[in-house]
Amino acid sequence: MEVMNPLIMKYAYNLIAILRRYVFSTYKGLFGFITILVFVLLGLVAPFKAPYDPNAIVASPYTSPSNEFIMGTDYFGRDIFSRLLVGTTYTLLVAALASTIIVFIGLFAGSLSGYFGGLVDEVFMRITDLFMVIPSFFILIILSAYLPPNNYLSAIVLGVLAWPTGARIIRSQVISLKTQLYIEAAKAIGAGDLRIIFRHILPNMLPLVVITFIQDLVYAVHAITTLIFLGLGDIKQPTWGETLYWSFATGALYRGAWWSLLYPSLFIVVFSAGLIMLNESISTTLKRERFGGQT
Amino acid sequence: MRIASKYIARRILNSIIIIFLTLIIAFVIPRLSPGDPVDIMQQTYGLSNEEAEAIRERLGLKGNILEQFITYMSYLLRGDLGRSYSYNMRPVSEVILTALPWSLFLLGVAITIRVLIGVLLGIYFARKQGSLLDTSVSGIMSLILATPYFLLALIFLYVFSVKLNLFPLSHAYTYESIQKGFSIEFIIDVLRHSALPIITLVIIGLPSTFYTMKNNMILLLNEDFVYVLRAVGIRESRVTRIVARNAILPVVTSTAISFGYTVVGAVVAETIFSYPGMGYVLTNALLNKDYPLIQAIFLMLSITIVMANLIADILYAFLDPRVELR
Repeated sequence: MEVMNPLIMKYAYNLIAILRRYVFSTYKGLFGFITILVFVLLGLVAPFKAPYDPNAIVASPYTSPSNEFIMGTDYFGRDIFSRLLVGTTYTLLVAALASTIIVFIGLFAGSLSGYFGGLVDEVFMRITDLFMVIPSFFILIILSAYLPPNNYLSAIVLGVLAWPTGARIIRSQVISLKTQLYIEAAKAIGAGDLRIIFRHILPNMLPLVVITFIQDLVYAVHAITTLIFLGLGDIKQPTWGETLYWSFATGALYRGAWWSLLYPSLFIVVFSAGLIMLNESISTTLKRERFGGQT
Repeated sequence: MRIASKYIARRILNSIIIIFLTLIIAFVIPRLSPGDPVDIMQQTYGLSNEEAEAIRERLGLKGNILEQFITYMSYLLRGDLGRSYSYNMRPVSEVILTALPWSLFLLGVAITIRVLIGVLLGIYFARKQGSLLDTSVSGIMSLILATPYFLLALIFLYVFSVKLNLFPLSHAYTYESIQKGFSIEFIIDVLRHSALPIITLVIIGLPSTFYTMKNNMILLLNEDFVYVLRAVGIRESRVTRIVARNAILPVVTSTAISFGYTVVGAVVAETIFSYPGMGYVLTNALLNKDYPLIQAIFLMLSITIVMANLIADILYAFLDPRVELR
């Protein structure tokens, strides 16, 4: 039997060890992990395996759920289940894009300002003051009138606007790490600032970064779905918010077409709940490890 | 009472910087879009070239960026916010002034009720930590956090207005039947119309107040002074009251920080419940690309948010004598 690449094996073992320690150790974590896994799998297979073409009109408007259309059809007579599946792919991609941008800028700005202090820090604090007070989503709403409606563009704008909150947390963590003995030791043997930041400080931020990333995912899904629901985002591409927008706009509430509102809502809430439970599991485990024994 | 004047002065300076940055954002945003807004207006409303030029002049979109900024500031300082296209060319300031009271009413009532309930629940469950009820309340709070606000509002609208017919579907009061004024009927009518937006805003903001209060209570209950209070034989109910009074301080800060999000919540609430406040006007303005109105509301709401934060900071200085040390 051929031996697998030892490096890959090592990373795989590490990954499993981390998952067992932080995620599988609590019911919440386990449940959250399974939920997210299911959504990621759905997102991966959706473009190939959706039962109907998401844009094709397959039945009369607002056909109630049946064996043929398990989640019914929307105002235009399109299969809601197929649209939500394809919407899963888009929603996940868009949320991941926004979160990645938030975390990257946040890490960069937060660690620089925390590590160097002085004028860099002063400017950083003033900018973050602004965004702590004025929510990024509010600015995103305003910008929607000036920018073309595009989900990826919304994600990029949200990412560029929403980083300061996470960056503040990272900054304070860097400040507390900076005074640790091992950083001083690294300085004493002549390590440069960049080496200290990348080799010694950033790896210690990993749990914090993961928690921030997951939080941002929830925020991004909610923000972009809300934007679409208000009719200010992309209301053509199938997403969870798009289905809700058309249902509300075409009066599904009064026509008794509950399925066109319930199912997209379930997708949003279950996905967010999975992420939140994952986060709670990680942070309680971290707390328990840090303070020993007590939760 | 000692007043931390240095602290307050720094807070005020900070707020001025933030307001100035918001002014710059409001100035830059319209200039980011490809082509200027007047081009879009020209297509939408079918204006002639001369009309477009006149509007450009009026909106301060002529000349280089510095000249534009000076024009923009001079209009602003005169309190001239332009005219709204979607509201029959009425002055923007007039449109805003009719909408603002409704929003302030929603926000004020919702935040007051939310803080009251959140603090009381926080005090109660800090003492019952780990009980079955506590675990289930935490579960409900997580569920609230997992629900985007508009969805919660939608569910309430469906259940309580469409299905149960308990509350009206939209608007701030019944337009035809009731005379405006301070009659009991009118007040009841207004309360019935505002009930659902307020209840949903309370629910969505509850987790943050609840957790801040509860966690802070738990922290303080483990402090030495609580041990001493109990040791000298002070009744448990009184101990709780003393601890709660100290634990409430971070709630002031967290309410202030989340104020911006509450405003965004109100924007969504007013849109879904067709409540004639700033948020409703804003969504209409955004959908109609009514640029002067959008900019004015952005500025108005931002300044409101900054001011609320400043007031909370100053309040904090009065509530917490230690603040002078910072």
